[in-house]
Amino acid sequence: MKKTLNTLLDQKLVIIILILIITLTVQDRNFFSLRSLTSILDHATINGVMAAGMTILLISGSFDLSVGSAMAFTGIITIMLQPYGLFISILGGIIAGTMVGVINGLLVVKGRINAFIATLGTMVIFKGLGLALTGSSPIKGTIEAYKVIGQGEFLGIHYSVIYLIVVYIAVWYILRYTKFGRNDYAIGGNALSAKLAGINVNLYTFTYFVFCSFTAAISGIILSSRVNTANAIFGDTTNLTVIAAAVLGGTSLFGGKGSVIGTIQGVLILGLIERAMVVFNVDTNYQLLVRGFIILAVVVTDAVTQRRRQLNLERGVV
Amino acid sequence: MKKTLIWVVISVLSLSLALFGISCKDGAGEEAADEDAGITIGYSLPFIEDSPYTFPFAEALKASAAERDWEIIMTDAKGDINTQVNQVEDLAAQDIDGLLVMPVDAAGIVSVLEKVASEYPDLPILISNTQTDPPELDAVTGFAGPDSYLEGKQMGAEYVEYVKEMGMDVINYCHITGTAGYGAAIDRENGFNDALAEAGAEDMFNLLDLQPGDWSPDKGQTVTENWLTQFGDDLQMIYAHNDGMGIGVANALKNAGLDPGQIVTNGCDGQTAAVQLVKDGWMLFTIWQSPVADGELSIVVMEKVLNGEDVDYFTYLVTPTVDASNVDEYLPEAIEIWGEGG
Repeated sequence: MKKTLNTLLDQKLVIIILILIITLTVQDRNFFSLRSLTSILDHATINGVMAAGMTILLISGSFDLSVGSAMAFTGIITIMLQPYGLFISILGGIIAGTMVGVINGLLVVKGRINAFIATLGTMVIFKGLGLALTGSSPIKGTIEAYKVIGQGEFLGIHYSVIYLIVVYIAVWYILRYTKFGRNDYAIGGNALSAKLAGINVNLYTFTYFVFCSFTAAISGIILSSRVNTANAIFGDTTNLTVIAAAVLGGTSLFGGKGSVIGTIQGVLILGLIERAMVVFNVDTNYQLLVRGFIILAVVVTDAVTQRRRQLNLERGVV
Repeated sequence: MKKTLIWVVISVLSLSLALFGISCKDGAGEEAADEDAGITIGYSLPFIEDSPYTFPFAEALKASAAERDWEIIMTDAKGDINTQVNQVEDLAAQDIDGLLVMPVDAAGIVSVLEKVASEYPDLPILISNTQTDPPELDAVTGFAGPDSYLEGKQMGAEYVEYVKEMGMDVINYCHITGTAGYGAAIDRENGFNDALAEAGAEDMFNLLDLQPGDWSPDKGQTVTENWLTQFGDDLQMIYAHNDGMGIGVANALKNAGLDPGQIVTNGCDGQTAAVQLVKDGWMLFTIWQSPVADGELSIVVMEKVLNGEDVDYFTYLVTPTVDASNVDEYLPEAIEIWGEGG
């Protein structure tokens, strides 16, 4: 019985998600419909895709504050290149966004600069570059077909939802079944041991930075396609939400621990909270408070459960 | 084994909930057993924090809605277009009778407005306070708020008059704008430049630098401090898009030990602090744009639309200029709206 209870409590994120869904449905009958539920996923796509990439980077023990800027920068380059054709513009945009990760990786691995400082730097530099390129003004998309990426629907389900699912399955697979993924945990757990075990820590860390920005670039394409605009100020508040989703999902800021299954749940919880703000008509003055409160509750529950697990371990209860 | 069992239980529960849900009515457009004949409107705000204007505006919205016994659902996009797009969709999916939007990004909001209009054809959408790009959309019923472009022109004309009165040939100025992409910022920039062109005074204004100040006093102050360092005595004027930034500019000028009017600046909105700065000579003028009147206007126009009345696409707020000649008339009302220190 106790074991069952423990295992059940371990799935606290799923329980919280179910509680949120039930509460929302009770408040608003129409919430519980295919359209409404998939719209939660649709809304969560942009931050969600980035959170998957961020998870990989966090597991390795680093993190990236420049994802918002990379996302905005991708959108800007994509739209600027549209006169050269849809394919070239998207390719150019993705390369541009991923380039941020290359620079981050070089700064951290070769330059031996702390990840926080390095990515703070690139965050500012790429935002500034974006402002310079656009003249501090938004630029509008000029290809109608481009909008389909972020706005298209199939039987009432947005394409975005499909991107989200594909990305998460891909990242899950990578983390579980590839050397790229296994080394991630090893490096995050103990970089020195990993190095002694023969893992090229520098090379892999570099690739994790690149991958994180790559997912930011994908989000950049989705966002700029969804609003058919690019603006250097998009993504200003994104880093925090993305990291929060990953941490909420159980990924440790210190590295070595985490999974995309947890991250997607974190993303869903944050998305459901946003919807709850509207459905429950929470006064705007209190919205920030409520968000913080819910997140705190989850994190505290996590800490308490961790502690109980630790105590059980010490007492010999498996 | 136990763990698998738990997962199976959870999956079955979720699946049955899902099937139960799919068999239920889809949300969009269906009338739930809604006995409530009261009106509910949704309002999508671009941001509330760090914006002295949006807060009294939101309070005025709530008050106007309450007067009519309307329920109002407000969302705060925290300055992020993606959040606002999601929130506009969420609001439209609720059982609301009217939707009002103050767009974070004038061009970026268009796609979601068109989407909502096609999914909910009976839902009237009103743009509030700051315009879209393009300003007229088929998807939208209309716009209610200040004519930011006209305000830009008013402000440009004031500066042209000042330059001519001072007998200057050329004035060196810096331009601090609202958030990039925000409708009102684009309008106040264009309006200003057009006013100079119309007066044939373009050559009299030498632009040293243009920076976004994001409507914020902190940024207004920091940017001005940088400009003072960069341009020193060459700087003669700073054109600001709102009181928030103008107040920051004035703070920087005060801290630098300058005299009022040594470098002229301005504001727009009519905050108490700004009106006081006009009185004290730091600001040449500000534009009176009462957030209370603005909020009320949006509700009034929405009411007309819901009553089936014919409404013009653009309903503009009256925005007179406040300068040294009439500042005393406006100070008491400013205190009433914004508070003593507002």
